[in-house]
Amino acid sequence: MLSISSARKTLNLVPTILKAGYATAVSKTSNGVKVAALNENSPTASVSLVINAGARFEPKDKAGIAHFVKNFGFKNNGKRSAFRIVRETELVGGVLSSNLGRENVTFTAECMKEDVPYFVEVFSDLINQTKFAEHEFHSVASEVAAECSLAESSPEVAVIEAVHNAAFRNGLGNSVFAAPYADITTGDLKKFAADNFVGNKIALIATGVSEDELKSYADSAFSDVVAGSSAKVEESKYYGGEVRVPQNTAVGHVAVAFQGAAAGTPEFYTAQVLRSLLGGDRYVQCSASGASPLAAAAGKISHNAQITAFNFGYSDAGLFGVYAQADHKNVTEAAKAAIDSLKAASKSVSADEFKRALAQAKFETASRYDTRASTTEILAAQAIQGHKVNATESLDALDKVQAGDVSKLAAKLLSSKPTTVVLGRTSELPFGDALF
Amino acid sequence: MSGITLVNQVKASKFLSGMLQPVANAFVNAAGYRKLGLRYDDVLREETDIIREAVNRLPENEGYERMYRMKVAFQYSLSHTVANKDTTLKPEDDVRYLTPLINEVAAEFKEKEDFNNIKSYTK
Repeated sequence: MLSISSARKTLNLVPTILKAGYATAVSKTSNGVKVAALNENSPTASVSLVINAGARFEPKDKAGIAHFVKNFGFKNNGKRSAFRIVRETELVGGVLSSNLGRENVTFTAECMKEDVPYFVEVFSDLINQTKFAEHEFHSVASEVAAECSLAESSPEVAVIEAVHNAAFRNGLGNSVFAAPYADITTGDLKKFAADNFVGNKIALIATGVSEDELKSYADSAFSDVVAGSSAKVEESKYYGGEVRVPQNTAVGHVAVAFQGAAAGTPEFYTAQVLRSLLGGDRYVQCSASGASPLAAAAGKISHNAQITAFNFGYSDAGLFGVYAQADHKNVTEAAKAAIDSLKAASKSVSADEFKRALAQAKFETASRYDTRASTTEILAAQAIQGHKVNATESLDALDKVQAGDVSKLAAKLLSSKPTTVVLGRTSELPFGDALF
Repeated sequence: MSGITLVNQVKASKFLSGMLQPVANAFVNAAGYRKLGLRYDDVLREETDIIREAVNRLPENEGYERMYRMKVAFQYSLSHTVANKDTTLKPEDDVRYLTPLINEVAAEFKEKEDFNNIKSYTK
């Protein structure tokens, strides 16, 4: 298929958006389908169908069903065969993709502007008429298995999945990858689709198209979608705990997470600043050590040690933590250094450090509008979860963060029950309580 | 699959179906597949891409039942016997279980053929 990455001129995008205030209104069709668009004056467009039926909505006995739903996108439906969708997409020069998150399943088409109505129609058929045919199920199941084994081979993915599982157990703790024991049939998929492919759980998100235009397409194409009821979210509860994964890996992995804040809350922005403060990312290529405490600590331990801080925000919960990777003999030291940095931040944050952290957090927030994929993600969160946050508002929220808030948050994080995940040669890896 | 068919017109007309149904029944009896316990869809020639794919798409239990009927038919054939009156396939059991799948696969094959020979394209 054609790639359109060469057409992406995103560097010029941020200033325009910031100037325009990036105010996207979210409108609704009569059956509850939410519509949001950002017309950023690019020659191409993207349109996404976002269904609020991610991994957290999986029933306990049907774990992994969202993964199958994701891979059943663009398969045979009442109007078009999977083959025809692929061929027609190629003929108009588009790229189709599917993505699964903990909150949403997203189907995306990137295309020329004039082809947006065609893909909106394909999406409405996907919602209303997907057949979930038995003979397609076998190929979908083998795709799912292949994606799972690919994910298994990545220790980073396994660690992050384990952190979520230990921290939230159910809901947000569900893996986005189907378990090997996933017991899913086409009947289950049909039922899941009937429950979840309803107007109130769907958002249509586009970039490169005006919202009025998108709304008019949605009004006609989605008119026979059942309104249904919006997602009943079981409120996320943070538990914390310890997971040890024995695996023959080159380096040891240790992640320690704490109860964070939901996306869009003031505390979440404070956590973003704290994340930048601890740092660990290398902004300058090949630099031996960055200015941030985690980068400095990693540089001291060994050349291949890596310590980063992470901050995940979901609609009603969040996770903040540090993640250390190093040779097995060094990784305990690296993880301890990470916890020590967090402890130091909980005592006091110097004005200089805070300034740097704030600048980096602001840059990261603004640069999330750089790519189509992350812009779509932000718009989807706005439309479905109702975060009324745009770039300028996010930056304003970051400006409100004080150095004192950051150290207060660090202290609060340390007081929650930690979630510890170690992966590698577990006999050489530390237990969570040995790190504090 | 096949060319022109008037089956729907014949079925709709009481006169035509009244006249042709006995002929059809006589033809089926003469064909004799029911006396081997087979259904019409069991005796369709399997060695074509379309039917092979359609058979692949059968639900598991129907696939097994098809296989079982064929084994029984072989047994009759080997022993030079046919089913007695009670074990002959009843007309109401002669279900076209494969035909919808054959039509589906044939449509897909045709679609593929059309797309592979596309000259110009307008949406």
